[in-house]
Amino acid sequence: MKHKVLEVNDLTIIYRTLEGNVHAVDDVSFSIEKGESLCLVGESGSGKSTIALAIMRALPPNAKILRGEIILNGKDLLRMDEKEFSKIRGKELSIIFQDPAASFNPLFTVGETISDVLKYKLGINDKKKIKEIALRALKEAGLPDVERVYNSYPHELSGGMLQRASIAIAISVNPSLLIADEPTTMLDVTLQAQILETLKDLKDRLGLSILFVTHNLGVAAFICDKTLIVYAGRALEYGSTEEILKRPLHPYTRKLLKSVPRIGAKREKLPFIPGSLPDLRNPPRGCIFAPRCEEAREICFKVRPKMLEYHPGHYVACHKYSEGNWG
Amino acid sequence: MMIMPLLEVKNLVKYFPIRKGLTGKVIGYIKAVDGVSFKINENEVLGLVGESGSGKTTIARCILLLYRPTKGDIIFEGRSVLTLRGNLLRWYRTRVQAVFQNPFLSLNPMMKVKDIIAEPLKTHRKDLNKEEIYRMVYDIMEKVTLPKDLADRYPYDLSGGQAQRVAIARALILKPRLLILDEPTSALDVSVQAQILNLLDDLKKEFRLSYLIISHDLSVVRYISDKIAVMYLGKIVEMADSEELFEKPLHPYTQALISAVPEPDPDFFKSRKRIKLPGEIPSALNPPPGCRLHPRCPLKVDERCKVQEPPLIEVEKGHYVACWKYYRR
Ligand SMILES: Nc1ncnc2c1ncn2[C@@H]1O[C@H](COP(=O)(O)OP(=O)(O)OP(=O)(O)O)[C@@H](O)[C@H]1O
Ligand SMILES: Nc1ncnc2c1ncn2[C@@H]1O[C@H](COP(=O)(O)OP(=O)(O)OP(=O)(O)O)[C@@H](O)[C@H]1O
Ligand SMILES: [Mg+2]
Ligand SMILES: [Mg+2]
Repeated sequence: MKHKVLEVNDLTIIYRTLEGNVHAVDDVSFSIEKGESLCLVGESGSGKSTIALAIMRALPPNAKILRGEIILNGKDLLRMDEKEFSKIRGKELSIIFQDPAASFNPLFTVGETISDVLKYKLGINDKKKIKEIALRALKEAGLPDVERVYNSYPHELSGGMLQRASIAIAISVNPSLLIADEPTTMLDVTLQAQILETLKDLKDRLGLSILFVTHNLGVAAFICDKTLIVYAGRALEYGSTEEILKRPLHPYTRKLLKSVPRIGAKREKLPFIPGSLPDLRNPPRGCIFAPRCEEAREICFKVRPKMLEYHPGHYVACHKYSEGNWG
Repeated sequence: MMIMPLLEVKNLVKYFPIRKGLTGKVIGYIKAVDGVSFKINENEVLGLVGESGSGKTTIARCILLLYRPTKGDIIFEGRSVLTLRGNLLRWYRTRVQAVFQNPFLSLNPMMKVKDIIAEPLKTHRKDLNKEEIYRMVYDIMEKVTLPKDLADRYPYDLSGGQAQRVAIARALILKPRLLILDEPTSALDVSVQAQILNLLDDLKKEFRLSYLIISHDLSVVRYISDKIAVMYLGKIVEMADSEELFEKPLHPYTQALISAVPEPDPDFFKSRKRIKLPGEIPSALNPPPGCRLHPRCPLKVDERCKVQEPPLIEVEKGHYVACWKYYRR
């Protein structure tokens, strides 16, 4: 069996607000093997960032993890103290954000920022050695002219260059898991393609494991081995990306795939999903998607469907696929 | 017979001066738009695509008279709009309307939905009474499929898709001829985006509208446009009918752009060859001489590409490209 880098089991998270508890993540499970990439795909508000933040132990103070485990390389991150976790954060676990500027202090050069990270995370003090590692990471991230980038301030670099530099910081510590939360959403398609290729190359060459957060199914198709479809805090479908895109099972996934305009397709009316996300302070009793589902029957409004393995390795949470329930 | 285009943009140039110090001395210009021409006919949709900073929004703002062009002309229904005054200027402002990316930023949070939609009528149609105004508001709400009961709500109560439909309703209430849509679906989820695109397509047919649509998402532009213009650093490098452009892209930049679109289809990536552009997009402050793409061009670059700017020429009927490769004498 392959080595599991990350295992998330039954993760359940709420946000406490004045208007009640927001059920942001409800009973979500998935795992990532070494050198594997997994995409969390879902629309706005589905809980993707909440999951990513929980793994980084960086949830806002009003969040509460009600249940679950987050196991990184055999250790449960939720059951270790801050001291133990601080050794893991930024070393075994790295993150890149949508806005690359978030990874930099505008008053320091890119080189100074990377050096700082290396000094504190890896405990290296030799200046020459640090610069050597930093320049190598910048090169690995696909940046040309690394010496100039090293000496530049963030504002002197374009958005694409800065995003590559933040990838460089994230990989410089040689993490076992890289979390990327919509890292290409703010970039142009040509830059997006470059960054995705860079990440894919790092995965293939260095055996990096990646948790990739995106709302774009095309991005998932390119970069991810596995995909977890999330909707309103719940996992609806899980499996290899190829399987899910070619043979989607859940009515939500099917509809979502059809609603994407394609450059190669004929111009026809686009199907869309009527209605909007349920109120997460008061989620529906049965299937979370039932109120918007064309195929929903009585049972869907009453009983919450379980995640079942319908084909080997392809899981779906929908009554349609559970024998006996559908008739 | 030549039909008169609804809108014609002629050699549009917009430079932004860069000033230095207390004296405000101009030390250079950002060449945001540098000689752009196109036409939009009645009931036609022109899509504008291109990298961030290529000048798309600047063109839109010039047409909306929010920026004064440095050079060039904008002609609407046969009239140059840059010199309009008084009643004619008011007329133009009712004929051309806009919808922007973030619906929540463009809707006044203190006003009810029905009053947001009614606002243009209150400024431009002083002849109407309250009852007539709200009748028109409810009519247009129905057209953009907004439920009646949203009329008395405030913007923060709306979903993204609903808010964008309010913005569209407000833009349509004066019965304009041309809508400028700058990234109208970029802030929306895919499933909601599909709904807005369908709606825009229906409205175009019903009201014989024309659109200028700007988006960085090529599949969105392809879905809704009749013609597409591709911009690179302030210039149009290629323009053609939508299908033609995607089936037979000629300019190396267009080819690179199309080949970078991620499609949700695993086989797509196996069969596709991505055309790569090395390096970064140069600054609009100092665009490269000759063809602006030449430092990054994947084709063979010769002396002419480096010194002489290629003109936008019609290589096939309705298919324009600015690249020396296609220039034959
Ligand atoms: N600090 C908070 N307090 C209360 N509710 C929150 C908080 N942060 C997020 N939420 C809610 O939790 C749910 C999940 O949010 P989350 O940011 O994880 O979604 P997401 O999938 O990352 O969305 P997006 O694609 O927009 O980034 C949403 O309903 C959101 O409004
Ligand atoms: N008001 C302004 N003052 C100075 N420079 C400006 C101004 N508006 C735009 N620019 C510059 O003009 C160029 C074109 O910008 P514009 O906003 O038109 O690009 P765009 O194609 O719409 O890009 P995006 O896809 O990022 O929206 C950019 O270099 C930009 O920095
Ligand atoms: Mg998020
Ligand atoms: Mg713009």
